[in-house]
Amino acid sequence: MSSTLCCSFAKNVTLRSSDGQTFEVEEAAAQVSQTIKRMIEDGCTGSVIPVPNLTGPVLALVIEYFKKHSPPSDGCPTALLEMEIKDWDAKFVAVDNDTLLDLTLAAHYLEIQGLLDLTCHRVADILNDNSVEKIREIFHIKNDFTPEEEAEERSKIQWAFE
Amino acid sequence: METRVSRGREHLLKEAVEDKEDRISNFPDDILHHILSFLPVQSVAKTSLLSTRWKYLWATIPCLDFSEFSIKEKRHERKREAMELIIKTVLAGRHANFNIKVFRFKGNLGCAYLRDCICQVVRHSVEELELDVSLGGEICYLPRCIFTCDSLKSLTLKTLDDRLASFRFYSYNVTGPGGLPSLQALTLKQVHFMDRHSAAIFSGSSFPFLKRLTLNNCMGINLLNIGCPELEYLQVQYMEINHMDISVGERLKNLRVISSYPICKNGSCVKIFAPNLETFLWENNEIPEKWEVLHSFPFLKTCRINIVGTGHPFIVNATISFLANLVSAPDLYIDIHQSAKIFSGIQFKGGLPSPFLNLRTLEVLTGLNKSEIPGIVCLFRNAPLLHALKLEIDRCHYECSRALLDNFSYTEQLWENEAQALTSFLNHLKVLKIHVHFSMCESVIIATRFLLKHGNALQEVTLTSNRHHNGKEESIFSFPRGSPHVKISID
Repeated sequence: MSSTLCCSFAKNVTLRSSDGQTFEVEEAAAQVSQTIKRMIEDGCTGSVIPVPNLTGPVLALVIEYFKKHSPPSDGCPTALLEMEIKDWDAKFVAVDNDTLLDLTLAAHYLEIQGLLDLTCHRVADILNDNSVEKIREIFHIKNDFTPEEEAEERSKIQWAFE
Repeated sequence: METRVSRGREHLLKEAVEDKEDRISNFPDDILHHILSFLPVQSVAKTSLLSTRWKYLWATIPCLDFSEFSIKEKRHERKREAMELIIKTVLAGRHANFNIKVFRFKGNLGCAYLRDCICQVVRHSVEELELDVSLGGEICYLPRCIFTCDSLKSLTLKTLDDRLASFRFYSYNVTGPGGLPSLQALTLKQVHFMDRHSAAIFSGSSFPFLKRLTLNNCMGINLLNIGCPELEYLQVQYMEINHMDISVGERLKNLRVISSYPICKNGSCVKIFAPNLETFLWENNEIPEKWEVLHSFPFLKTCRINIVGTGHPFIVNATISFLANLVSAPDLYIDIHQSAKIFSGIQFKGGLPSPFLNLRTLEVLTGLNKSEIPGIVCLFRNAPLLHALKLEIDRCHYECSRALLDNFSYTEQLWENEAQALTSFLNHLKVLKIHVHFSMCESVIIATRFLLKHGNALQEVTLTSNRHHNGKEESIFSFPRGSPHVKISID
């Protein structure tokens, strides 16, 4: 409410990434992020909102997500619209792993629950579909177990392999 | 050639791997736990082999869900032992300082270990505990620790075995000081209450914040006193209850009583104070002798009723006072099969004292058999302003197969005799939907013919059937119509 009171003219807000790129986006769309919503409510809309944890390309992607997920102006979303958004979401996270991890961190930092669920689910799918060795390779995870330790850990969760 | 090239590539890739940063392992714990929450428990366990960081994540994960996990072993004993070993190892590997917010298990466990397991997760401040256990014929007394668990928000206890093997507990364990202060949802299936204090167990002091309560096939409790002030949802199913008292029901919105009054004993009583009730289900129950409603249900939206019983005057009178409390319902579903005699009895007594004036949609499950017609007529008479009627027809099969023409002209006469008494109903009904579960039979045609002929306000009549058409339904197009604008369709 306070946002409409103090800034009734500003329908758009400007977001600035860590590398200084600025993006203009509708205020209602940007409020998909709880973090930005709070900043707007605290009255930061007059100037540019800094988003220091996100680089320009990642912020550009997040803004795409904002636009797709901004609340519809005419009330309830229809079932058809929901289906379309679901398809769009699936395509949105079909990206390379680095971008996927960038988006996950961005969703966490900006508190976008829908995007966080979406990206985490996608990462979980990658973990689920691959062997331990393959997962290490995909995400560059260094195995810091000694062979003995690894064998011991493996014996504890033998049930998970049966 | 090709293999050499790909080997070369592999080599290059390997170098790249060593150079690249491991970003995901540096994520905060809560993101990684969130990622792992989308995985089945065995996949989460596997990630513990990735590195010491991931081993730590597995040992601190807040949700342990074994409800979808099973092992391939047919023999009960072996399966139980294997499951116990798995749970034991997993719990033993837990980091002591991290809570288990959610613990779900479905499968075989021995009682002795189950009790240990419950106490262990309680020590880890469990918030949601769900156990759906096959006890293999054993009896499991619930450990006391569960009744003093301050963190517990949701508790589900179910046994898969027959009625003898079950969870058992003494209700004084709960009714002691403190109660379960955080509990919001409780589901008990096949739990045996062992003492005389059972009636008072669901008190406000024991369950001060309980919102949802489901009791299914629980034994040792036939007097049910519900005093939980925050209760919004109550379901009682397959219970032998002859006294139910819900005097503290300000917040109760949803009440479902299913197959729980098998014997209409003298002195059986239901007492309800639920001024905000929205959904009411009374299915496969008899009617209690005394039906005491301390406040009407002005917000009632949906009502489903299936009363079991004979046409004995005592039952008819009890049903009349039962229905009198539901007159404000805008939407009603009635299964007339088991209660045909009761409704006939009401009809012969002259109907209900006050009709369902708010009723706009009525759904009736019936065979439209001769014996059911007086009961249906009774419903129609008491729904003078009804907008839409849906008749769901089953079990008319038998009567049709031995049909005699005489019989049907008699049925027709039965309907015609009521035209006068049903004037208001027939002048308001706009939508009629008939769905037949078997092939179309004469009794449906006769009822449709009657409603078409006298239904002056009818706009839409739809006939649907699960079976192929047998030609009988085509005749309804040629029937006389009371309303010139009616649209008829057959599907």
